[in-house]
Amino acid sequence: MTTITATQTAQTAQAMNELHGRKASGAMNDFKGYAGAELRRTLRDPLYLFLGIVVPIGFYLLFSGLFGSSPHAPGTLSGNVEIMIAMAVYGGIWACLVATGPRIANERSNGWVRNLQLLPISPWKVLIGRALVAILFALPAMLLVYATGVIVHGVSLSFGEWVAIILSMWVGVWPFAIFGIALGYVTNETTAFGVTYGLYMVLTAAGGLWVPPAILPSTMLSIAKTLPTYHAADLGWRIANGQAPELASPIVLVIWAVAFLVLAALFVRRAAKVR
Amino acid sequence: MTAVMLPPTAKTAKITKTTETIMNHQRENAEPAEPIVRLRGLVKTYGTVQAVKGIDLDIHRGETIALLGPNGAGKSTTIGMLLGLIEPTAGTIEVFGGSPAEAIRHSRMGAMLQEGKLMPGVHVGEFLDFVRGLHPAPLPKEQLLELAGLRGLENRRVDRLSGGQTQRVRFAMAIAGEPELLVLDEPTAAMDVEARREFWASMHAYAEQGHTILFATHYLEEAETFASRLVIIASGRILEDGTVQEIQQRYGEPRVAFTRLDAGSVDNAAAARWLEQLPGVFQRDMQGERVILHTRDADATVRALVSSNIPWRALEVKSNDLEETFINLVHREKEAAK
Repeated sequence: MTTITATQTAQTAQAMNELHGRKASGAMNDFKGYAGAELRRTLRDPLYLFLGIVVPIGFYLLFSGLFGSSPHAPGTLSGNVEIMIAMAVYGGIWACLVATGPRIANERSNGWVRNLQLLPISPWKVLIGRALVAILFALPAMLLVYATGVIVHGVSLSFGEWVAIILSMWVGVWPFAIFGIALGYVTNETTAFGVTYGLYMVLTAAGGLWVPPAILPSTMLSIAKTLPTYHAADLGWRIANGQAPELASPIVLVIWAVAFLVLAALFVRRAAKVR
Repeated sequence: MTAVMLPPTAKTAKITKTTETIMNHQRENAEPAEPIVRLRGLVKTYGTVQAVKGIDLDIHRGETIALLGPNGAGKSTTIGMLLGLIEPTAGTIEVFGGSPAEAIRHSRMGAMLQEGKLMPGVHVGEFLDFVRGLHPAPLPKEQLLELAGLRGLENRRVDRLSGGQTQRVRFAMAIAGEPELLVLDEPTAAMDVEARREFWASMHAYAEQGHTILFATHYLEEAETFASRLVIIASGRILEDGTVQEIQQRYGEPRVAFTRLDAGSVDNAAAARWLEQLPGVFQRDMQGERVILHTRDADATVRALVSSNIPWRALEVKSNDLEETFINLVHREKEAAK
């Protein structure tokens, strides 16, 4: 009697599993679904479109108009190119931050994050999806600055240099997507935008994106050289100048990426516990 | 287990049949199988405030349960814990034999919260595609739109809907994976009368398909109309648990009223004493000729009254309605909590 019952129980359980399709749901499928939905709404986000695309181009035109065509020492970049690269990083970073920090903080308080917990998708997949979308949106923001450089100022680089610049600098801003996630979990809806924007301005200014690094005082320059903002741009500056990037750049960028990752993991876990 | 109670022949025959049969069989049985939800000693404390003070609850397959209570009774906290959104201070939660998170991950439990935005910026259709994509066996999109009453809204942005429409999208999100257990926290709070009516029709259709539903509400009428079982909660405790009829019987003591025809002719004090001694009666009100007897057994009281020789007319038997019962219960608990 007992054995039959046990058999039946096992079979019932198995059959119920089949009935409810309780195999692990397609791991990539839900993930793609989330990223796809994120992508669509970012396209409809005026804040991203304005601050991520219009502002960097505007600044580029402004600064290059002021300093772009001033004479430059041989072996150094013209202002048009140098500022183009700085503003591409500036735009790319903002695209990464705006798609993560303020948005996450907002959605943590408006309840969407809570609603997501009621769906069969792991919170980590959601975070990776957010980071991916942020990274994806950094690319057009950067490409449009390059395009402005070519069209407005006739910047001309070799094909290989363009490819190297586009790819390396794009990867160079990736750590900021992780930084944005960390910020989204440590701020709230009222502080998120201010904190994110403030840190963004500090990091881009200290990283030498606003003032040519060559004219920075030496202490400022040595501070800049520890920052990911500087190194993301320095990749492009060197390539545009026909040089190979310094080994320090990827090293510094990876160190910051890991640091941001640790911070993000810490804040996400902490936020999950406050209940 | 149900299986043990079956005769061996029936049992072996059932084994080869489909799951559907086995499940139906369990459902048919009066002494049902394991509860699908088991809450034990659930407590939630926020600082010095005890929001939930020890809740034990079993939910069985196929039930439609209303968690009924006034605002601040602990309904949302209890549901939050059941869904795994709130960490209980003490107690255990078992949903389909596992944790709430597991039940959600396996599309066996779906839920709709009272508040919380949906993914802003996406259209209703896109949103439902996304949600459906998360489930291994989602409801067909057409059916989902139909059930949730979302036809014609597919191309609207989810953050630009009315309160009632938003709730319908939340409902669609909750049932997209066709969960066996559907949990709803005050689902109609933001709806007008018409929207509410449509919503309950959708809910009813979903329950009809054999799904289990738990919903929180502070509208007694909703609980009475749509639930097969009522769990009344106040000040973080379960006060009553049963069908509407059971609770009414337990608390809604009926009243027997009639008009005496001999009011002027007999000794009133003696008559009063006699009335009090009728079976079941525990309280008596006399307003001139009209007599109201509060009784625990209306049948016995009336029988005794009919077979007596006192003259009366205009007999009425009224039971307390559930609302009165509910108010009394909650009031009693609040007084006790003071």
